[in-house]
Amino acid sequence: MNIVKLSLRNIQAKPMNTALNILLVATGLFIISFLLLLQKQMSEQLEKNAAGIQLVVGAKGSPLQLVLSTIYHVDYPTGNIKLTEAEQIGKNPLVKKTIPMALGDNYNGFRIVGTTADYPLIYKAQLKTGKLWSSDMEVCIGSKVADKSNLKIGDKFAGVHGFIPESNDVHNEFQYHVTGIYAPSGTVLDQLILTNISSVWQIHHHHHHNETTAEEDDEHAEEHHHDDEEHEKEITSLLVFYKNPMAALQLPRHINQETNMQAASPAIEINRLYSLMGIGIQSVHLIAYLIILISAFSIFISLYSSMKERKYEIALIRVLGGRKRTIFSMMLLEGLLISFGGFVVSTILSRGLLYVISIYTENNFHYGFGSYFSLADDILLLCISLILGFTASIIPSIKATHTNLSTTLAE
Amino acid sequence: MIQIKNLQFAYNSQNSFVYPDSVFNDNEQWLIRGESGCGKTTFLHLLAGMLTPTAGNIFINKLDINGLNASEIDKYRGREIGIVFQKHHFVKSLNVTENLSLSAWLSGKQVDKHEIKQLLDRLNIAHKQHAKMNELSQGELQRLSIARAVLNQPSVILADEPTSSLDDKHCMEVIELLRSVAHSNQSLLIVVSHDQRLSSFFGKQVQLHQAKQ
Repeated sequence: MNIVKLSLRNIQAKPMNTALNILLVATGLFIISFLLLLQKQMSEQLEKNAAGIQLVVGAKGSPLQLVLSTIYHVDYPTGNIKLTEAEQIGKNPLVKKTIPMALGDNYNGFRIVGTTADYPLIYKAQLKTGKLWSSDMEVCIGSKVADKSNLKIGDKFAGVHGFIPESNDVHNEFQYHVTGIYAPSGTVLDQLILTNISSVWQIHHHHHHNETTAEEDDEHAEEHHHDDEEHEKEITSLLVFYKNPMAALQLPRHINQETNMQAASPAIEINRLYSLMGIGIQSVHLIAYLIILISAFSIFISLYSSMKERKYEIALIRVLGGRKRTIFSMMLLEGLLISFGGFVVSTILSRGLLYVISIYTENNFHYGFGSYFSLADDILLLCISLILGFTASIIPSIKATHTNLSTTLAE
Repeated sequence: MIQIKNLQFAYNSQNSFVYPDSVFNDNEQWLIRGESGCGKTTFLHLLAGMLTPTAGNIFINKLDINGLNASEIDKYRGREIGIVFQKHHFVKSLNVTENLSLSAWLSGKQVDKHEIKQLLDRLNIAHKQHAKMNELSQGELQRLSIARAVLNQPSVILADEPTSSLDDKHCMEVIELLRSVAHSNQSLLIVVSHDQRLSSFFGKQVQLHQAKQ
């Protein structure tokens, strides 16, 4: 026999009561634990994929949408911009480097991105096998694309127009050819298919041409020719890297005021996203702390009534040789065991829910969660649970030590 | 050995129990008799250190237990005194063996499961060693109380009205059992009871009288 076994037996003797208390503690801790893990995962993904990109230039529209579609590939692009205008930005003395992006197609839900060889370099991506694309219709694919689509070096496939994998608008006339597969980088690159921009232009020139010739008369053919010329010169967006900090002050304002394009700062937009989510997260946090407070009261009431019910047992333990500190430790441990039980249940539940959400986001956005553990957060939650157990059981524990042996056992 | 000197106890200013000076030697078996309300249970609680005398002294093995602090008394009681209560008090969340293990653990003595099993065998309740308290009959609970009182081989065994609710047959069984285990443990046995049936079992007796008004 020992104090832990004795306390365990005591809380096991009232399974419904104990289960209810554990569930209450677990619910409060679970919400906090889940939110902490989710926030951690989100901020990790957002930071990692931002990869030092300082500005995104695209068609006018929602700046958040532009950032999400260009950097994180989770939203639809705001439209296209003219290549000539985009090239002008690259010539600005405040700009160190630009990377063009041309989107529009997907394969099995994985976006096909027309870009330059600089793009994978910002994620420090390395080819696991094969070589970088060197001519039109050659692609390098991310590790997730290779795994999920079973694509290998030398394989050919046709892209689907748009971002919906189930679309029937397949560009069968143009087959992409896999020349390289990237090693897993833990970034958005893992879920992308990269090619040069002219491949994207080639396919969309043809796609646009087919659409217009089917719909309109030959008398407009010359006019369409000019349209096609312009379409060939369009890209979806431009990633911009500044030459110096002054650029952050001048360049976005210049682009937004002087051109038909919009400039969006990923840092500002992500902060805006956080602040939008923040109100909801804070409300949920508040509810969680309220539940934890209720659970502390519940443990207190439970231990207090248990102490009264077990007054004979408490007196008996003293008579058998148990010291006051034995009684104090026993009662305190009961509260701590219940709150620790709540911590364990909450840890399992939060990981379980995060796993389910990870599967959902993986299937729908190709974003999974890397790690399900955060030692610092777990230690914090363990401390919260133990403080809760201690606070709830301290009064019953002290009161139990004042049990009058003679009066109680003579009743 | 227990020695009582000028022992008095009062719950309030009106009633005061005055106990005769006595000496209870090792291996002896005593019956403390008296009517209800004469302070028998109080006397037993004083001997066990559960109450502090208003006046006088109690020496157990020449140690004045009134000079000990609460923690020392708890420790001393656990090691040296075994008590059979009038009501059967046990820890309900523990089974038979665990209740006995608890007693051994609290007293700080090393008692293994084999010894517990032997004791339960001797008291004919070994078949209930894994039973919960609510699965035991009154007779079995009484035997278990005795088992717990003698488990740590205390120098003193105190029993409070151990036969009050028993018929003649069971009364005789219980008192013989108590006397037998006390004798084999070489413990001093002090039984407090108003049960007249016990008079014939004890050669040494003390009669208590009603409290002074």
